[in-house]
Amino acid sequence: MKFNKIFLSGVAMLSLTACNDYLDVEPATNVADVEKVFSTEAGINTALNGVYAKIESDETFGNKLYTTLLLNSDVDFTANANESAQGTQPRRFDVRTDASDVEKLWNNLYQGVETANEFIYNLENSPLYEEGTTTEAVETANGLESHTIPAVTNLTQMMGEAKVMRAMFYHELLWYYGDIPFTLDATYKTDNLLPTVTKRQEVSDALIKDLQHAAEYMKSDKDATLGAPEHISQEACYAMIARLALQAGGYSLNHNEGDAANYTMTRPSNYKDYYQIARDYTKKIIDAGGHSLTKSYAQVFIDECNFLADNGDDPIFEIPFAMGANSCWGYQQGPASTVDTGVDTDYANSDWGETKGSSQTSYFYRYQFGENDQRRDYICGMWGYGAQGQPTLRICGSSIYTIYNNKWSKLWSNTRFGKSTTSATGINFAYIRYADVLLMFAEAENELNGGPTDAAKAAVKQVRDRAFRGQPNQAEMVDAYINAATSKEDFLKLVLDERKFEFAGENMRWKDLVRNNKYAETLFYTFMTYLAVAEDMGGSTSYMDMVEEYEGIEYSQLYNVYYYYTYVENYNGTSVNNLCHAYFPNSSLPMVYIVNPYTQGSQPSEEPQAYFDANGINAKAIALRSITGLNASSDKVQWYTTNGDSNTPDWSNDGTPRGQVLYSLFGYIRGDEQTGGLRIVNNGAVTPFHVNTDDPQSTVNSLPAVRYMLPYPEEAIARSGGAYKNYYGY
Amino acid sequence: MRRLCKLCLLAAFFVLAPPEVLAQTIAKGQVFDSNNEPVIGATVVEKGNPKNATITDFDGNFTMKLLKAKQVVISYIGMIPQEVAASENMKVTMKDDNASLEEVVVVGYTSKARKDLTGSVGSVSGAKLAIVPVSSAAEALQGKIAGVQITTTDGQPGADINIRVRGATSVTQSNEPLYIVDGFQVANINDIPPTDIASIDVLKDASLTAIYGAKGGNGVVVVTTKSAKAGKVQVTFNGRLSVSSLTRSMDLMNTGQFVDFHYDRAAASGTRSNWSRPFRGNFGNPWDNNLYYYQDTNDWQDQVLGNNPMSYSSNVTIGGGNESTRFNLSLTQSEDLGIILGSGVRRTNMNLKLNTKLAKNLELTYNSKLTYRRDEGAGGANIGSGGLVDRVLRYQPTAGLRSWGSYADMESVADAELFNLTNPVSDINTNTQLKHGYTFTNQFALQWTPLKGLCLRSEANYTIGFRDTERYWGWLTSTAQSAVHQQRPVAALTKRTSESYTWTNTATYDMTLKELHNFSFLLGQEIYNSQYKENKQTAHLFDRDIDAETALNNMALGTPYSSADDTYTLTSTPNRTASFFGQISYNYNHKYLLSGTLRADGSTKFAPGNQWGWFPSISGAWVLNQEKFLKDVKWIDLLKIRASFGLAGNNNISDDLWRYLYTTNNSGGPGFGESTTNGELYYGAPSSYPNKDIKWETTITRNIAADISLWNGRLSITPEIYWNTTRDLLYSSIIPTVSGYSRQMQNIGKVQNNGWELTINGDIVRGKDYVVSANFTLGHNKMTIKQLNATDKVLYEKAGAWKSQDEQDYLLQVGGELGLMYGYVYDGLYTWDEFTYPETSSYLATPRGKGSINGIHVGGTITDGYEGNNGNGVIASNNSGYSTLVGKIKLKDLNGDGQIDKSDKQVIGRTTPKWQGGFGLSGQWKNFDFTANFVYMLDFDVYNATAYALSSNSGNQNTFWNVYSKFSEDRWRYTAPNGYVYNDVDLSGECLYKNTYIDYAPTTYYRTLNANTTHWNPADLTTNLMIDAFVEDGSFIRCSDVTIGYSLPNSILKKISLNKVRIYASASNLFILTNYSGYDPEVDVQSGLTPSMDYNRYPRARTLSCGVNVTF
Repeated sequence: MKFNKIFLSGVAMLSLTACNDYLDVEPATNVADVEKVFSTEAGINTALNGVYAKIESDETFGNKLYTTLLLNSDVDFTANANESAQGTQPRRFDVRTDASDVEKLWNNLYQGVETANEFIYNLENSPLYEEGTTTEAVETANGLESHTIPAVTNLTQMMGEAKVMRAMFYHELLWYYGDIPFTLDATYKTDNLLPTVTKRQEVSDALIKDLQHAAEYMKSDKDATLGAPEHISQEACYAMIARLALQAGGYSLNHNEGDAANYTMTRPSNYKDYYQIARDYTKKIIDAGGHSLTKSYAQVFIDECNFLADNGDDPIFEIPFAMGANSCWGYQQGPASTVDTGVDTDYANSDWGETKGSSQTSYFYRYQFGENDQRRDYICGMWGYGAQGQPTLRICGSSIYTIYNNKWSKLWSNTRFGKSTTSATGINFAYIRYADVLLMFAEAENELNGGPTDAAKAAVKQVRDRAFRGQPNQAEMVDAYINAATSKEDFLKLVLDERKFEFAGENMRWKDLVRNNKYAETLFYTFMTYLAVAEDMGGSTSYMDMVEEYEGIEYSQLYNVYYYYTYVENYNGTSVNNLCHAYFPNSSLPMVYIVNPYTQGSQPSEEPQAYFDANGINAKAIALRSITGLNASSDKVQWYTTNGDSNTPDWSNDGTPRGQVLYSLFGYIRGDEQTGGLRIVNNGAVTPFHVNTDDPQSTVNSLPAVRYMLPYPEEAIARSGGAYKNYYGY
Repeated sequence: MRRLCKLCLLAAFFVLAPPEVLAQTIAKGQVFDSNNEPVIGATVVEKGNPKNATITDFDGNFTMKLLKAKQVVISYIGMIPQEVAASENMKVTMKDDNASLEEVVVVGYTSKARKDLTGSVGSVSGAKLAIVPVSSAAEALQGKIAGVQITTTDGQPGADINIRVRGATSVTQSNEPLYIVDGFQVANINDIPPTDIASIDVLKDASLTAIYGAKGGNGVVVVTTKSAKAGKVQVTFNGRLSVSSLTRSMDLMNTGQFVDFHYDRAAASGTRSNWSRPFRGNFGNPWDNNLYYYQDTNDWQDQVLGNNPMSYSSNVTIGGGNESTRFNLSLTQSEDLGIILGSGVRRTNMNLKLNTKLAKNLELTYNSKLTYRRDEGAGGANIGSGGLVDRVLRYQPTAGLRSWGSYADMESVADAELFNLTNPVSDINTNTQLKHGYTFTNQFALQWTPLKGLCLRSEANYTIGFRDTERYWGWLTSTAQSAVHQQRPVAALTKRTSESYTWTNTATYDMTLKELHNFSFLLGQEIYNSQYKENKQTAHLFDRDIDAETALNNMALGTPYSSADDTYTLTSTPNRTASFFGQISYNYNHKYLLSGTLRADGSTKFAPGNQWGWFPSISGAWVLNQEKFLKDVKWIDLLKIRASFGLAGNNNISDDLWRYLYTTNNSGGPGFGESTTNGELYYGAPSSYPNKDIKWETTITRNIAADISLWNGRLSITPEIYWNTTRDLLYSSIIPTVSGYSRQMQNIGKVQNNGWELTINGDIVRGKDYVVSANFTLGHNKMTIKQLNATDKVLYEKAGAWKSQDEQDYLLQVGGELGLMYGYVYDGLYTWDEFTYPETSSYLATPRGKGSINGIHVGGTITDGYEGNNGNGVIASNNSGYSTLVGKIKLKDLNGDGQIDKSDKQVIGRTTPKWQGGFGLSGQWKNFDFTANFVYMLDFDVYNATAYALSSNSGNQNTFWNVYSKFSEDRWRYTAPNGYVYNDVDLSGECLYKNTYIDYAPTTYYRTLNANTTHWNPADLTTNLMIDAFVEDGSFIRCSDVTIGYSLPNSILKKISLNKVRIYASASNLFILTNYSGYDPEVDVQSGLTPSMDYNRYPRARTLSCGVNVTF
C-alpha cells in the first residue's frame, strides 16, 4: 500500500513537471516560426519577398488594376454594349456592392497592407534592427564639418521597401474607396480585426510622414548592392511621397455631410502644402541626377519585355515579376494573338502562346498626339493575330471600338514563351518612372508658382524631347510647343496632355483628371466623340463641330479616306521609317505596313503598287505581297466606313448608334436607345441631359461629379457589425 | 497436427499432475458441452486442493483420485465452472458461459462486469462476427448496435468507413470515434481481419467515454482480438472465396437512339456550321442515321463495371500455451477486387499476442502487428480521367464514323486511334493509382499486482507506418492535357512515414467492505504523440508511350516538376496530448451503483494556457430487481435503470492554428533579375488567421437508460434516451478581410443532438437441438444547429465534386439540421398556352403571359441568363434559343417576381435519416447454422446528381454525352424522328424548330410532334442546378448478409482427426428494398457538410461467397 502511494505520486510528479515541456512542440517544417525568421538577415529578406509577392498578385498590380479596374477615359477605354446595369463593370462606373472585382481588390489590398504591417512590426522588434546614426565629414564653406546622418543598413533599407509597398496598397485604396479603414499596426499585433475608418487626408498625412522618415534610411538606387530598379530605392520612396502628396492635395470625390448619398469634388484647403511636398521630393530625385531619358520611349518597354532591367534610365522602380509565377503584363496588353489549343499549331505567333490584348485605348487616342510623336507610333497597335498567324486589322466595326496598347507584349520578347502559355509572363512593370517624376514636378511647380517656371518647363522638355528625338519637327514640337503655354491653366493642360501621351495603360489618366477635377469634362467629350462619329456614320449628327473644336481633330475628315497597307511576311528588322510602324519590335511575325494611318498624315492618291514602287521604298513589301496573293482592293482600308457598305460593319445600326457607343460610360453618361436622348447620372439620379452645341462650355460647367469610386464590398460591411458604411449612393 | 496436440496435452498433464497419489475417492466420468459433444482439455480439480488436478482426454474422459474432498471443480474456458460431487460414473454437461450478465466489458483502462455498468455499451460478440464473412470489422457492426451508424462512403473495396455514435457532435470537425484495440489506441480498425476479433464494444455515453477525455467525445469503439486459451494449442483455418457483381445498371441509350438524340441536339442548335459540322464529322450524313440502329452498342457500364471479380481471404491462427505463457499468432491474406476494372485491395496481416507471467504477480503482454495493404484504383471519382459519370455512364456508346476509319481531314474530329486510346477501358489503364501501406505496431504492457485488488500497469504502444502512393496520368488524361504538362504523361510518388506512441500508466484498486460496499479506484496518466514525414516527387514530360510502371520506377525519364503542391518534403508538427485521469466507482451490493470520472487533457493543438481541458462525468444505476418488491418476480432477470451526465471534448483540428507561422512558398514570389523560374522563395501569411484563444470543443452528454432482461435471458431490451449539447464548436469563421485574413478558427457555434435508441435481443424459440434468436435495433437522432457564428444565421455550402452553378447547394441554418439541400422547385415544362405561336408562318415564337419585364416579353417566368435580367438567370440560353420557351424546363417562381434567380431557392431535401438501425435473425438446428442481417435507414433524401448528368447535356458541340434511354422515346423534340409522317407529309429527320424560329412551317407539325411529351430534351439542360426533381427518397432496407453454415458432426471429425469443420455459403448485399433509382442510396450518408450527393460514387456490389472454418 505504502509503496503504491509512493510509486503513484512519483509517476504523477514526474509527468507533471515534464508536461509543460512535453506540450511545447516545434511546428511543421513547411511553416516557419516568425521569431526565427526575424533573427537572421536572410530570413528577413525572405519575409520581405512575401511583401513583394503581394504587389505581384493578379488581383492588384499584376493585372486587375490595369485591366478590369482601369477606369475609362479618353486614353484607356473598353467598350460595353449592355443597356442595363450589370453591377460588375467598374470601368463604366457600374458596380454593385457585391461585385466580385470590388471585393477581390479590397481583400487583396488589405492583405497586402497586413503583410507589410506585419513585416514592419516584426522587423522593428527584431534584435537585429536598429535605426542608428553615423557621422560623416562634409565639406562646407567653413571647411570640414562633422554631420550626423542616419546609418543606412540592409535592414533599414528593407524597412523602407516594406513601407513603400504598404503605401502602394493604401494609395490604391484611397483612390478607389476614399476614406478607408486604416492602421499602421499589424492585426497580428493588435488583434483588432476592424480598424476604424479614417479620413483620406489623415491617411495621407500618416503615410507621408512614415515614408519621409523611412526614406532617410534607404539606399539610393545608385548603390550597386541594392538591385534597383527591381528593388525599391530611396528615389522610389521619394517619388511615392510625391504621389501621395499630389493625391492628397488634389480633388477627390467626397460625400456631403448630412446627405450621405450625395457627392461633390473637393480638395483640402491646405492643398498647397501637399504640392510643396510633391515638388520638394521630386526635386530631390531630379537633383540626385541618377536618371535620364536616354533610351527611346519604345526601348524602355521593349527592354522590360526582354527582362532587361536598366538602372539609370526611365524606370525608377519596376515591380519584379517572375516568369511562370506572375504578371499579366504583355499578356493583357499588346496585339491580341489567339492560339487555338485544339489544333496543332505551327504558326509563328503560337511560339509566344496566347496574348489577350484586352487592355486597350480609345479609338481616338491616336489622333491626339502631335505629328511624329514616337509614342504614338509605338503605343497604337492597329492589328492583332488570328489563330493561324494572320494579322487582323482593328478596323472599326460592330464589335471594335478600341485599338491595342502596344507598350508591352509577350511578342516583343526574344524569349518565346511557348505554345500553351498564357499569363504569368514575368514582364516587369515600371511602377515609378522618371518621366512621371519630371511631370509631377512640373505640375507642382506650376501650381505653387501660379504659372510655369523654367524648372518646370525644363522638366517637361526632357519628356517631350525623348518623344520627338530626331524628328524633323522636333524644335517646333518641343521648345516652341512648351513655350507657348504661359498661363497656369495652359501649362497645367500641357502637363496633363503630356501625361496622357506618356502613361497609357499605366492607370494614370483617370487619376490625373480626378486630381485636377477634369474627369467629368473629359468623360463628356469622350462620350460625345464616340456618339458624334457613330451618328455621323448613321447619317447626321449635331455634335460633330463641338467635338472637333474641343480636341482640334477633324473627325469628319476621317471618312472616305483610303489608308493603304500591305502585309509583310517577316520584316527582319528592316527600317520601315516613313511608313507607319517604326516600332514593331517583333521581326519574326508578319506585320502590316499602313501608310500614314493618322489623320495628320497625307494619304497617297495612287494605288498602293504605284505608291510603293514610285517611292522605291518597299520593293520587298510588294514582292511579299504578291506571294501572299492579296488582291489590290484589299490593300486599302477605310478605318471608318459609312452606313451602306455592307462588307464592313460599323458603329451605327440602321441609324442608331450601337450599344458600345451609348453604354460604355454607363454609370456617368449614356444614351437611350428607345428615346434617342441622353442621360447623365447626377448624384445617383439618372436624368435627361441636353447638350448646348452652341455653347458647349455651358454644358461642361453644368456637369455633375463622376462617381468613380467603388463601394466598400458588401461582405466588408456585413462583417463590420455596423462599423463600416457606404456612401456616394451605394 | 494431432500428434502435436497430444504432445502438448501430455506436457500439460505432467505439469498439472499431483506428485503424490493418495487415493481415497475416485472421480471418473465424461464431460460434455451443451451440444452434447465431449469437451477435450477441461480442467478437473479437487475442491480445496488445487494441486490435485487433471484434464479430460479426447473423448472427454477423466479419472482422478481425490485426496481430501468429495467434490471436483470442472472448468473450461468459455464455459461456466461446475462443482460436482465425485463418483465413478459422472456425466457432466457444461454450460456455455454466454450469460451476458456476468460478461466482462473492457471500459476505459479497466474492465468491468456488465452488471456493474452505469453507462451505455453496445456489444457484438466475436461468435456473431465469426459466422458472417465480411471484409472488415466495421462492416460486421452495421445495424447491430442501436445509435451507432456505420456507413461506407461508397462501394469501393477498402472504402473509408464512417462510424457515427449518436449523430455528429461537431459541424465541421471530425466525428470519428476513438478506437481502442486490445487496450491500445489506434487510428482506425479498417485493417483488423474480422476473423481475429473476439468482441467489439461501443461505448456511447460520457460516463464511459469521459475517462478517455477529449478523444472519447465521439464515442469509443473497443475491439478485443482473440487470445489463446491456456493448456492447448489450437490451430484454426478460415478460407473464403467470393464473387461480386453489380447490383443494378443504368438504362442508357443504345447507339441508334444516341445518334438520333445528338442529331436532334445539333440540328436545332446554333448555326449550321458550328453545330452541324462536328456532328457530321463524327457521325456522317444525318440521312444515314438509321444505320446506327444496326451498329453494336459499346456498353461501357458492362465493360467497366460488369466484371465478376473473384476475391479471396485466408487466415491461419495458432494459439496456445500454458498457465504462465500464452500466445496467439494469426496470419491473414486477403484480396478484395472491386467491380470497377482495375480496382481492389490486397491485405496481409500478421498479429502476434504473447502473454507471460514473469513472476507470481507480474505479467507481461506483448502484441505485435504487421500490416500490409495495397490499394489499386483511384476510386469512383477517378475512373480514368473523368470519373464514373463522365467516363463510363455518359461516354458515347459509338465511335460513329471513327468506328469505320479515320476521318482525319476534319480538324475537329480526332482519328480512330484517338478513340481507341480515350475510350473508358483504355483510359483506366492509363490513369492509375497504386497505394502501398505498411504498418508495424508494437505493444508492451507490464502489470504488477502487489496486493490483492491492487493492480499497477504500464503500457506502451509504438507504431510506425509507411505509405506510398504511386500516381500516373497517361498523356490523354485531362491532367496531362493541361498546358504545364504539354500533353505528356505525369507521374507522382508520395511517401509518408508516420510514427506514434502512447504511454499509459494506471493503478487500479478494488476493495470490498463488509461484503456489501464495493469500491474501485483508478488513477492514471498518459502521453500520446504522433508525427509524420511526407515527401512528394512529381515528374512530367515523359515520352508519350511510356507505361505507368516504367515511369514510376524511373522518374528520371521525365523532367522534375517542382510546383509547391507537387514536389515537397514535410515533417509535421507533433500532435501530442498529455492526460491525467481518475475514477471512483462504488456500489452497494451491486444494487446501487455510482461512478465518477475526471480527466484532464492537454493538447498541442491549443496555445499554452488553453491546452488543458477538464472532462468530468458522473453516473449512477439502480438495479430494481434486487429490491424486495421485485425479488419474487421470477421472469425478470434484470431490471436496471441508469443515468449519466458528463463532458467530452474534441480537439480534432489542424495543428498550429493558435500560433502565427509563415508558410513557405516557392512559386509566385518576386523574380529579381529573373534568376529563379517561378519567383524567389518567400514567406507568406498563414491561410487562416491564428487564434490564441481557441480551446477544446466540449460536448455535454446526458443519458437515461434501462437494461431489462427477461425469462432467463431469453429476451433483453435496452431503451435509451439522450440529449447531447456540443458547445464551443470549433468552426472556421469568416472574419473581416480588412484584417488581411478571411478566416479564423473560433470556438463558436452550438449543436444539439437529441435521440433515443432501442435494442432488443431475444431467443424466439429454443429447444434441445435448435435455437432461433433475433435482434433488433432502432435509433432516432435529431440534430439541431443552435448557433453558427457571431454574424451568420445562414451559411451555404457547395457540393465538392458536383457543384451547381451558383454553388449554394446545401444550407446550414440556425435552428435547422445539418445537410439541408437547397435548390429550385421543378414545375414541369413550359406549355403552349404560355406563348404565342403563329400557326402558319415561321415567325419568331413570341412569348406571352406576364407581359414585359425590363422590356422583354416573357411567358411565365424568365429562366434565361441571356438578356433582359442582368445575367442573373439560372439557366443560360441553351441549344435551341432562349431557355424560356415552350418545352423548356420551368422552375417555380417562388417569390413571384417573374424571374428565376437565387431567391427562388428553398430547402428541397434533408439528408439525415430519421430512423436507422438493423435487425437480424440467427439460429441453429443440429449442425446447421444460419444468419441473416438487415440494415435500414428511413426517411432521408439523396441528390441523384448521376441522374442529373444522365438527363442533361453540358459541354459544347464537340461533346457527345449519352443519356437515359427514357429520353429516346419521350423527350421534347426539335427534329422529327425517322419515318415520322404527318398528314401525308414525310417529316423524317426534318428540323421543325431551330433557335427560336419555326424552321418548318406550319407550327402544327411542331405542336403535334410534341403533343404528348412529358420529358424535357436533355440538350436543354446545360448547367448544373439543384432541382427538387432529382432529390429522391433514399430510404432503404438492405439485406446485408445471409449465411448458411454446416458443421461436420463429431463422429466424422473424430475419423479425420479434426476439432471443428464448418463450411458455409453467404451472400452479402443480397438485395435492397428502396425506391431510389440510382445504384445505391447509401452514399456519404451524414458525412461532411454536403452529404448524400450521389455523383461518381463507386457502386456497391453483391457478393456471393463460400468458405470453410477448420479447427485442428
